[in-house]
Amino acid sequence: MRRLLYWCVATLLLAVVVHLFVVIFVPGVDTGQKLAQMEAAGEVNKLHQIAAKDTHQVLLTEPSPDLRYAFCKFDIRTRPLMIEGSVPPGYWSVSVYGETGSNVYTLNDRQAGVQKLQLMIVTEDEPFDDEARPENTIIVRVPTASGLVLFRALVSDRSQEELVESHLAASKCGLRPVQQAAG
Amino acid sequence: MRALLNIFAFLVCGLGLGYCSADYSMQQGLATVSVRNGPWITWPSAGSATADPYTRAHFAAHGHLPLTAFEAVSFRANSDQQGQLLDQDCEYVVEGRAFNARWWSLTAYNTDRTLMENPAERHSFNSRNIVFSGQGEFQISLARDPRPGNWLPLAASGGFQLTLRLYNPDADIKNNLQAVSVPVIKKVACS
Repeated sequence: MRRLLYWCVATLLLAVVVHLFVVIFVPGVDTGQKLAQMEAAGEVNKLHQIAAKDTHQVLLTEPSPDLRYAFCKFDIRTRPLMIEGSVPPGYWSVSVYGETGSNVYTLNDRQAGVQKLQLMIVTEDEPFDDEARPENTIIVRVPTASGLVLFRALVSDRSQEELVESHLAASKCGLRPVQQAAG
Repeated sequence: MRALLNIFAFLVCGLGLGYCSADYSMQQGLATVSVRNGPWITWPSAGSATADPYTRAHFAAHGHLPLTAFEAVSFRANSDQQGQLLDQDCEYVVEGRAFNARWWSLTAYNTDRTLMENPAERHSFNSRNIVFSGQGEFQISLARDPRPGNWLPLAASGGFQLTLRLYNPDADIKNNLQAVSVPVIKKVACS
């Protein structure tokens, strides 16, 4: 009887350890794979539109067919990242995700209140002189040097598709130029 | 021999119990971290920096990039009002009212969360393109063959799920997810 109790307790302990391991570590692996897929789909620190068909199914999980997406997988170990968003009429948002897929920052068109929005992404531990901030630029501090920027723009009916996609195409993502970074 | 059997049973039961309980809590949602409203489930702390490990795991497990509740609230249903799993061999009617949000959408997905292939290339309705039948009321038919009004085509056989997204929802939605008037999912018939 005592032996049986011993095995039951040991089994439960193993189950608890496995449970915690799966909850804490496995999802990170899945997110890493998804971000790696995005990295493979296009150059890092550059904005890529996701086509309305085909790649939706691969790059994004549970994509909304009412939205058009553009993403920029970033790596800011050397310099900050500059994001320029061209805001279409209608719902639009830009989100910044850390390398574990956590939503670090989101801003929508109403909050932005402008047609051209500038963001600069820097790591939390990077010393940054706020006075060196470019004019009309929002600074976003992220916990990890790599991650993802994702634009979402509403296409409420197909007649708007071209307009919305032209705004996403006019948006930019790239490392801050060296001379600017030094200044 | 008996010791080996004990060790084998210990490993199989421990690993199986641990994995299955983790998978269930990540997929179905524990009552402490998710909110159920009829057949719909939502994860209030999705996308939040302070999200609990189960919520993080739920979204990360599929490589999902969530928005915070301020930006959007999403409800998911994989069963009808009677608690039976949604089946593409059946026909359903989804009835509801407009929501207090900037815009909203209702989308049908395969169980692997990909969009259903269909010749009409129609996967969702949103608050701007749906046809309302009364004072903000709507009805969506889910069936393989065309139906009058708002029709979402079902494709192959197997299960499916519905996702309701409310963008920039009003405070009354964010603060009381259990009281949101989510759509009713009624099964009409099965083939």
